Amino acid sequence: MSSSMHPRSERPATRQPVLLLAEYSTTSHVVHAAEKVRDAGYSHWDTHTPFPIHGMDSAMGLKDSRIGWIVLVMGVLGLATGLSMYLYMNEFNYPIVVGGKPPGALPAAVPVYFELTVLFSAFGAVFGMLHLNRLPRHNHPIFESDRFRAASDDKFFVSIEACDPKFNLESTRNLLESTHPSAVELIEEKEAHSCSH
Amino acid sequence: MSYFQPIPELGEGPLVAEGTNFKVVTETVSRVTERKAPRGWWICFLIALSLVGVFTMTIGYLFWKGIGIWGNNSPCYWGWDITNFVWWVGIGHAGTLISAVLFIFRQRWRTAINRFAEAMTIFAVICALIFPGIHVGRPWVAYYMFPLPNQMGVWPNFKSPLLWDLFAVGTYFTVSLMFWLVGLIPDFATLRDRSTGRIRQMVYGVLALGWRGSNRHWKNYERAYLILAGLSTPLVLSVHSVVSFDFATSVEPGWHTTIFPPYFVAGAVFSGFAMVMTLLLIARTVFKMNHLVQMRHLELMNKIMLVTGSLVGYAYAMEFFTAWYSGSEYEMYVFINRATGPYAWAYWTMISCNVICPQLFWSRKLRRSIPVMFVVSILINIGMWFERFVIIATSLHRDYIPSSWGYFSPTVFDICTYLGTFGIFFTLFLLFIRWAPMIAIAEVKGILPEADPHYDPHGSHGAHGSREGSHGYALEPQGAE
Amino acid sequence: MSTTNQMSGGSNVGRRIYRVDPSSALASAWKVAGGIGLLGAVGAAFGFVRAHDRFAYSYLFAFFAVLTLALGFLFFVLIQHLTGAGWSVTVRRLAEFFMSGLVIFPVLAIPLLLSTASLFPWMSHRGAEHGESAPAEEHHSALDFLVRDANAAPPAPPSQPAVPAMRHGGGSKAFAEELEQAEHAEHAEILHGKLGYLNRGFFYTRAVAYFAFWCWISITLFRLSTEQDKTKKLENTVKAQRLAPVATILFGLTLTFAAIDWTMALEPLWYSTMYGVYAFAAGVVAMFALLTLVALAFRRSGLMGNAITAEHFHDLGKLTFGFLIFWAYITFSQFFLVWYSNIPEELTYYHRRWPVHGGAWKVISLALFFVKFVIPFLVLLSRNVKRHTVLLAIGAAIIVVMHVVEMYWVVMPNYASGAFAPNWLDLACLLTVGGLYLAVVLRNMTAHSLIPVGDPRLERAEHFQNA
Repeated sequence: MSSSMHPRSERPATRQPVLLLAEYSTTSHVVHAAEKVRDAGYSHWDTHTPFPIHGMDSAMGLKDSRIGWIVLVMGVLGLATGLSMYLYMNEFNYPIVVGGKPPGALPAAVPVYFELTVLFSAFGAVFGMLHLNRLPRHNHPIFESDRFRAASDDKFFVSIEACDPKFNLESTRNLLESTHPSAVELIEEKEAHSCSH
Repeated sequence: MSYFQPIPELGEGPLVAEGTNFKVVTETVSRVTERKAPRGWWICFLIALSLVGVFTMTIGYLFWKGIGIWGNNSPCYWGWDITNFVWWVGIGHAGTLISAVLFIFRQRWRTAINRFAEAMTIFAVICALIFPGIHVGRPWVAYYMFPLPNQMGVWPNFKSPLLWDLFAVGTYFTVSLMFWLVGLIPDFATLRDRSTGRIRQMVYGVLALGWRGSNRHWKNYERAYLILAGLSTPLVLSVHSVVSFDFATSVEPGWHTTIFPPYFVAGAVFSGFAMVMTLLLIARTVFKMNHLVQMRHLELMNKIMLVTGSLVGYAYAMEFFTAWYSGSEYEMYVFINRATGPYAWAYWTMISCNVICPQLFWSRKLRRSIPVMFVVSILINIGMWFERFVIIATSLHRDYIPSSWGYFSPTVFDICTYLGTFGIFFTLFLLFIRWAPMIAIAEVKGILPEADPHYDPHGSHGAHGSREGSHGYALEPQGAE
Repeated sequence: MSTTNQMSGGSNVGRRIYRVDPSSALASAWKVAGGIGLLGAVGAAFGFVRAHDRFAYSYLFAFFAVLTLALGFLFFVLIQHLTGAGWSVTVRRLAEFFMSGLVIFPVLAIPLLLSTASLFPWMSHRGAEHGESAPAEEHHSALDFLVRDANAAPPAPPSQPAVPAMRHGGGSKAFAEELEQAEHAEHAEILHGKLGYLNRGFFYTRAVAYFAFWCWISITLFRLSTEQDKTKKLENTVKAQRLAPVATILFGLTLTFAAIDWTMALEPLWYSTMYGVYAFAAGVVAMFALLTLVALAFRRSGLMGNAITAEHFHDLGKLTFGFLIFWAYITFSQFFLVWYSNIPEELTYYHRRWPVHGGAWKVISLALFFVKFVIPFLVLLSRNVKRHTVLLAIGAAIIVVMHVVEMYWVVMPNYASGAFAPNWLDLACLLTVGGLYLAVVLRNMTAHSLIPVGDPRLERAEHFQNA
């Protein structure tokens, strides 16, 4: 958390810029801003909103989420686990005849295959999501901003990282200023920040 | 956007009350966890905690003496233990239904109640899981249920419905917990950002996983949530179906009937909604959340109870009809015995609570009356408990051999165990509403009118005239590539 | 798939006329369907006279396969009104067209109701009709189908090879016969107890009641909706929504008992409490698949303009997928409980459809799992597929075709010895019922707007997006 009440931009120049943050008070403004930043060709930038905004993915030009594939692989793995567990345990390793059914009668353990498929898929969805989002991550420089606390309340933000090849303190700030933000803030840190993705 | 405006004549209305904005939502939900607990909370908490004490003592005695202290006998080998298990699992189903099924069907009003219902699911499943754990009589070898290698070289029997139960309820608990926690991440971030104290900041900070509302994250998050909802829907069907298999795969008249799986699921949803309603009405009044949990939502829930109650009634009728149609004297006897035998009192309690009582909701006036819905929701919970009891007791107490007919009556230990699980449930529940956001903050914000990027505060509300002018920009179907 | 920008679409909607061009091929398609239906009817009529028993089963199969689909559409319309759904308004009219075809079913049912004696042997029992208990010999003779089934070769139609009875193997012949006699006496007694429900008079009364309800509700809902095209009155929607709850309950009951009467009672000793739900699930999944196909076809033809977007296909795909799982769940549960409990009198149903008669039914049983469920499941699993029309169409088409196969599998094993023996009459009857039904549907399509242009939620439906 920030220890000073001064705007970061007025700090001495020994510190490196990490990202530029623009604040908006309506969803329509932040969506328009995102479209502008997208069209300006930035790649290491993001929007921060208290809830997912409809249409933001296309405003940012994001590709479809890849999480479905992770879930699919995990689901198949779960199904295979259920089947092989049953067959190994009740058919090969220790055959049991129950209720007049042959030891490896496939319908008899359908609930087990099904549940394991769902369980593995759900693990895939949750941990796949955390992996794709590189979460948990508690030390992001964006948290240096006090203003940013409202990102989980009622304000909307666009952040452009300094490691973006197109980043230029002057022009990027101008770009953001042109999108009717309610505030623009520069976040700096002692050492240069390397881009995460 | 006029076409997004609700049409009152069709019973449509705004999803949240007028004047609710982002700030109000954050404020209303968060302050419950930030202020001091009201005195009512403490009273409830202490009552719940003392019931946990009762539970602990009863279970201690049970482990010491064995399950002979219960009313179970021959031929009633199952009694309140399984009744309570099925009842609690059923209670949990509404949570998943509200979270997942209503999510998939885009019933956006669900945001008012889903967090609440999900929490209820988890706590109810915890209570349910206790019973299979203790009813085997030797809880210290409960690990035999798991497919673990052991010194005897024997594996579990995968053809046993009780093993399916383990997988089904275990999976259900795990997936529900993950679903709930994933839903909580953005809201924990809200609490973190509002925290003033160091400890709150740390705890909520850790729980929020460093969430920063990034849209790149939302993209994966929303898809993961959708997939979890998609997985939970067949899962919730499967769980109570597997529970019904405990009965239906047997050759016991009254248990072995093919409609059991969907019938159990409908019953589970029915009882779960009733429980959500009971708890929600209390919380709504105590914490003054009328503008978030509106009468509209309660009315919709009552409608769902009417639907599921009618489905349950359909199943009762089909069972009765088929028992006659089957021409099997055992089948016929079981159903005549249910309605006229020693457990007729339980049967008619079930019918009046489950089938007759929800019919009150055909009336719009009664559907919108808080006292009526409160009483009905409690009656439904009672009725659904009796449904399980009727199924279990009436089929067992008089089966094929008249010489071994018997009767089940509960002992004080049966009663204390059951009451004790209420203690566990409410203790957890009260802790939840005290420390976690009980309404999904991010989701409720998402359904506010101003969440729509095309929202125009000065535009024509309700006027059907200016449809074109209020477009900020074109609507593009997303991801249509 | 690219969807054109909707900015101006919104204003177009109210003014655009979604009509079938009178000079287009579609406008006369109903004549083609009707012609095919009549052609089939000629063949079927020949069968009716020359091979009546075989005809009865073929016709029942065709009738039930198409009826479950049509009832599925009725359910779709009902459920949209019940939930006040806004997203589906653009596709609702298509469903309403298919629902409106229900009116021809009372006519289509006539050959069926004339053939009940061949289908349901309990029909010939007269005692119960008057509420008296029949003398023992009479009901024994009335129930001679039981003896016929096991002892003698059935009165086979010309193309039908006699299949030897193979239900009881081993033991001396005399003993086996004695055993069968005893079994039949017992079966006859059980069946006798059911005659209060399974008798001619009550059967026809029920049939009339089902058709009366289905025709009344489909005509009413269709009228309310098409009338609104011109009047644009909100009260039509309100009326339909008011009707929906009670109509849904009646729908559930009529469908359940129709399924019991017309297919479960083919094997009068077999019973399953799930049967009504099963018939419902089968009809609804086939309906969603067909609705998807029809919507795709209309979109391709350009008649619907921008009204049906990728979002609607995504939703239809999801619903098809969801109900496919529901169907699999119901079908599997019914099989599973019967298989697991292993009670002889219940097993007969699956026994007929699995190991006996050289395995042809077994192949179909397996196909119902792999082709009707697994393949469409894998196809529809992906989000992108649901938004891409070609694969979606393939998945939906498989489901529709397999629905017909499934109904064949439900009805035909009860015919004669139960051997798998396709007959040209099966096709003739399917063409009759399907052709005449489609003729009504297509005729209505040319007469009304393809989109409920008067629905107040139309614009919202066009702009709706999947979350």
